[in-house]
Amino acid sequence: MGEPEPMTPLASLDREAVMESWDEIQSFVAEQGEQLLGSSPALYKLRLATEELLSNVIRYAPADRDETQATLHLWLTFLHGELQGKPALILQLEDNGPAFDPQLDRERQIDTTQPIQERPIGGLGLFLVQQSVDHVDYAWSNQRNRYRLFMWLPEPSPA
Amino acid sequence: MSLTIESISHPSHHLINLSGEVDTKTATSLMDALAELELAALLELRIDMADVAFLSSAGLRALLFAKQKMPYESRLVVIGANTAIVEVITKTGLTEAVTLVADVSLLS
Repeated sequence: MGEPEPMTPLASLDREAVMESWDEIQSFVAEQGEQLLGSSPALYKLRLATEELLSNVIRYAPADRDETQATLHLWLTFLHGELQGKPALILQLEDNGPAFDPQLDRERQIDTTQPIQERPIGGLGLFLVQQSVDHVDYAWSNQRNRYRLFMWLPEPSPA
Repeated sequence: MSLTIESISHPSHHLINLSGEVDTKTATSLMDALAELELAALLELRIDMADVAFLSSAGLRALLFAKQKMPYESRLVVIGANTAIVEVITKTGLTEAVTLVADVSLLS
């Protein structure tokens, strides 16, 4: 798979990474996502993947910080770009928490042969991220964790 | 984003009606409602999701939590979930824990 290149910023939001920001962040993703993708299964999947990544940042990143450090922030940016030469919507999520590589390039599996009583309660989130979007990547860039979620945009109908 | 929870005991089962979205923030309320039940003695739990628009892995964890606390021979039924939610439950292999039905009239 070639390296995807995001291009044009479409909308952005910057909020403190606390649960009090949750509703506003979710509304931003839902409303902007609907404008760009429509009320489609793709929008549900984008929201699902976003929620899983944001949840990890808000729940776990503050534990590794102290009062001398800058406030933990989240930056969300919708971009118009390409994935494998086809038009794509990209949602870029950044945070200034400690570097955390979730190894999104490693394919995750759910062991469905495991009896329900023995299934681990956790571990579903990153699996759903990988399953929900057309491409996802991670980088530590400019002292921020940067996740990019790529969704192919529908091909324009022939005239 | 909000979630309304209605919890009703019936002689043969317990019913939880959900309305709204089950995500990281609201799933804590669902977990609280589940924790209030005597799950270890509950043979059938029905969760009506006909009015649920969104379910994340936080909601899946709540379902798994409930089923793991319930007796082995128990039944956890999710009623009326939309196509996207059914896909998430199926994709994560939780159909072994959850019986999916489109409508309550389909339950025996």
